[in-house]
Amino acid sequence: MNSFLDARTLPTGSNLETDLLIIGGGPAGITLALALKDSPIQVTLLESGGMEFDGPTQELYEGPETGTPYLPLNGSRMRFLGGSTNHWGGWCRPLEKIDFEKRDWLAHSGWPFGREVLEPYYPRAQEMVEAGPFIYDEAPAKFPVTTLALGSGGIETVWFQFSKMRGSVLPTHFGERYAGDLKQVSNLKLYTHANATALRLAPDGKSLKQVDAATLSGVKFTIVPKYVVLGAGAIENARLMLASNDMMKTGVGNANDLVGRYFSDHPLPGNNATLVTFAGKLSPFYLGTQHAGGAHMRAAFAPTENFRRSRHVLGSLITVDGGAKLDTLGEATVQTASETLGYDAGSAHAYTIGCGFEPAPDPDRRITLDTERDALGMPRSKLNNTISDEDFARYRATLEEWARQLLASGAGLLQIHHSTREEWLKGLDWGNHHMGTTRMHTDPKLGVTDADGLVHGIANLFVSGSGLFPTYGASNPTMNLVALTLRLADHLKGIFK
Amino acid sequence: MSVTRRPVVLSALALIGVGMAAGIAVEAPRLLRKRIRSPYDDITDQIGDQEQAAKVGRAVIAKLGNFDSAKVANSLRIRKGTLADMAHADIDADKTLEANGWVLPESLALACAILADQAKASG
Repeated sequence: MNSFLDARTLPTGSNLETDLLIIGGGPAGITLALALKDSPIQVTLLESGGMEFDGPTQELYEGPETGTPYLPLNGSRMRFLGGSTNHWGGWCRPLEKIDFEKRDWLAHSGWPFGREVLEPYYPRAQEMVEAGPFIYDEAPAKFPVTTLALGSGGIETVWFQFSKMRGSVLPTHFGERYAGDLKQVSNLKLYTHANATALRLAPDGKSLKQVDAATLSGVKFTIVPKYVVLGAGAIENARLMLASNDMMKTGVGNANDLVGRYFSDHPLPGNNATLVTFAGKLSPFYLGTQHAGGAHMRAAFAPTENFRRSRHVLGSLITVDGGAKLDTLGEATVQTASETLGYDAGSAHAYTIGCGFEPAPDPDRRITLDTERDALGMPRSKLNNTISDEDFARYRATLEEWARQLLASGAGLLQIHHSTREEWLKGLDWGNHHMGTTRMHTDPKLGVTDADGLVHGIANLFVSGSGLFPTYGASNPTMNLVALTLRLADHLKGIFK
Repeated sequence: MSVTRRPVVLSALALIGVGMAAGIAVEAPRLLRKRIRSPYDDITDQIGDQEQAAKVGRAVIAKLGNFDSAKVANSLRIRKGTLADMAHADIDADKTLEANGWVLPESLALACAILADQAKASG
């Protein structure tokens, strides 16, 4: 049995009918298709690419940018089966409880449900990303490890797990890993090289009646689905909704001008600090992935939920990136501080610090449509990226607390490298973690979809993926979006019961 | 076999000599460190290596801009305890200052700045 079909072999003008159409064969689409196997739902999945990277297909992602410099739009995601898992690093960590909360001090914050709603789906999501036993912050109880003794304060050691390493470096690529499983799903038809180009609304504008699709080879066909799930990534989902504007001029599901807004990613200010530990080298768990407890584990530092609440800072995951050499001022500081405070710094070691942090939701950080069109005739995506001084200040406040805590505990010292906006922006990288363009909210005026991912005002259009995240947390999104998609699968099973 | 005292004494003297040489080698840098004399010795003498501390202090002054040693020294003198006590209290109270990004207890950073200021003044 093989459920894979090449859309380039379809006769132009073909009209396909299906119960559920999934647009996009990335981690969300693949997770959903697999979760619905053995259900009575007849599923069709459209994947723009094939099994391998293809230049002309990838080029469909190109688009202009304004505002704060960002990654090239065709370079920060991948357009073939498996989607952006084809270039992810495999970092996994569930979102924190506070990430779901509405915080009075943080505009636009809060999910329509708490972490307890996603909790039941994390074990299965963990299996999908092949990250081993669900350990995370229970690591010190599972295997011997000496964490940096920070004492009490706002910063603590937290743990990443990593998607299964193949050979030495690669995590689970969903397309490669799950192609065999997908081919065995009897209620699935997966079309490769198939691009959704328009969402067509029914005359009353309250449901989708048809989806237009095309291949780069020139085949045009349509799908008539009972339900549609957009799983093409935060940028493409928004682009397709905005570009489908023949009936609703602002685009499908965009009556309140929210589609494409609140885009986000995790800024990665590399080498943003130097850590000196007084009592010798850090555990290797801080410096790289170690195999322990049946999983690939890595330790990092993060603000506690109490600190985040009391000091109004957002999430950050602070990593130790490697060894560092102190200059004369650094050596003088270590000697002066340790001697005066009565700490033994005879075995001091210095390390370079990296980080991924969470920016505040910003409606002006958004995807819109460009005037230029791609090879399929679709308007290209256009990104306006922003990052505020407050975003940097919140992360800096976290570093300042870590520095204070290091001094208080006698564990070491911290040098913070950046103060001005220019310093933070210099060499700033991003995580390729696209989030937030179709945010969930119970109020249609504040969110594109409801708590189930159903687009407000459109009875049969769902969105999946990290584009649903209203606030982002600092955790890498893949495992979290897989958990959210598994929840959607249960919801869809209920609809078709 | 007869044992004379002379080699034993010589060996003992040699050991003492080696010990003294080693002690001098270890302690000489500290003993020869330049002390920065100033009207603020009551504060700055609590810092071991004043030349190293003055390097830190220069970075503190660069961050603060205007710096008045007398005024700062007075603010430290009205506080209780040693410089180490004040530094620990500052950490607990989240009162820190940065020296080129190095986060330090405020009192220690200011004491370093006094040293840097006085080193500059003494030429």
